[in-house]
Amino acid sequence: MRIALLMWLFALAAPLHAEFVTTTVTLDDESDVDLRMFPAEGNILLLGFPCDQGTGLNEARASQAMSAAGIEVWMADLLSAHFLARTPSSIRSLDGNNVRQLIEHIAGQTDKTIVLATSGYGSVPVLRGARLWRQQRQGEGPDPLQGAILFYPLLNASEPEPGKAVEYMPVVHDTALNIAIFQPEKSPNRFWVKHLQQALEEGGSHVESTILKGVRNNFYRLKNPTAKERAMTQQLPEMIASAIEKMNLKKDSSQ
Amino acid sequence: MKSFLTALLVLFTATAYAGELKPYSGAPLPDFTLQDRQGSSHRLSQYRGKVVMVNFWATYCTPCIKEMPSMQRLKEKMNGRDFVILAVDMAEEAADVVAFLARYNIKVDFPILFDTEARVIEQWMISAVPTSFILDKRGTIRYALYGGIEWDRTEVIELLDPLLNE
Repeated sequence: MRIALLMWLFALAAPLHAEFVTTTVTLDDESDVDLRMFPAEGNILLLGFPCDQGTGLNEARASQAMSAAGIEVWMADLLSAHFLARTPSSIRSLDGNNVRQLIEHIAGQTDKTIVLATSGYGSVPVLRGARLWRQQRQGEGPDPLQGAILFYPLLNASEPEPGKAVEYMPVVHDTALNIAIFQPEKSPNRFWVKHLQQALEEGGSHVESTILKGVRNNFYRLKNPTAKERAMTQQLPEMIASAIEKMNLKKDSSQ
Repeated sequence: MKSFLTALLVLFTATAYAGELKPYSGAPLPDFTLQDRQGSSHRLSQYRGKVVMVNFWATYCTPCIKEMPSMQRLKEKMNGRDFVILAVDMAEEAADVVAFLARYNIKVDFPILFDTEARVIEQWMISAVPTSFILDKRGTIRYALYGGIEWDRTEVIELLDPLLNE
């Protein structure tokens, strides 16, 4: 019933002009992180790390739709904050401290439950940041950070080697979160989703994974999307809201 | 200003991936039997006595599509020698793959095999596409590569020659 209501609200959301406010947060390393904030009245705050240098129109549209449906969205631009290019190595180089500080910043401003969201290599700093946040809190009081949504997470420890199983970065085995994975079907990663899920669960996470039929990684940013990819992009807000709904978030100190 | 600097950094740090065949360091991988476009079965071990290139590819993989004509040229350069190419499509619908090859006018006469259930992909632990293996005449994997290359380059043929002469 709640999902049906959310879908109805998404349908009402204006599709073209993303309304948001921007602000800049200065972190401990004196870097300035630009934030696009899509406010909402609900008790969930989605902190997104699109690694798009502020250019992702479809992410902004999805954020607006979620905001209209009651999920507040903040989109952080970590790459521009450090003058980094959007390359795998630069994204993987982020140690997670900026993510931790942003969680801390939000937790100091609101009592909303926080869910992180990112894609591809952005999963590396997001999980690192979540782990650092948990270490900093040491289980004291209700934890506002409850989950993460990862689109085609790329968490391999090294370059692929033919004939050898994928090994994951240490943070995969050491982050206990509610995690929703959305893995496009048209990607070799799809064959490793269960392997990744198992590795995350061994670290204490609860993981739900979904294969997105007929679309490629990064489908919502492609210059030549297929009809299926355009349709899937339109469904992003419902997919994310549904994943949050399934997480059955509880703000407690048990994790 | 920030965007301009970022764009500059993108320009200077973006590099094209150029792979090369490297000696294979993984464990032996199991035999497989897969069907081609005509429904004929191909068992890998039936090609003992020939040098075999096993190439894992998919229609959504741009480097795969780019390298495929060079695989056909390599096959033609190896005409009359004990050399076989098996191109394993990664768990896509056969009809979609055939339509794709026709739409993009990709003409190859080596077998395109269909691993519809992804069993071989899992057994061979394919985590990137394209991934290619070179097996010697005894069926031992000697070289492997992930990423696309021009297969009819002199360096590749010079590497295959000793295997063909064993």
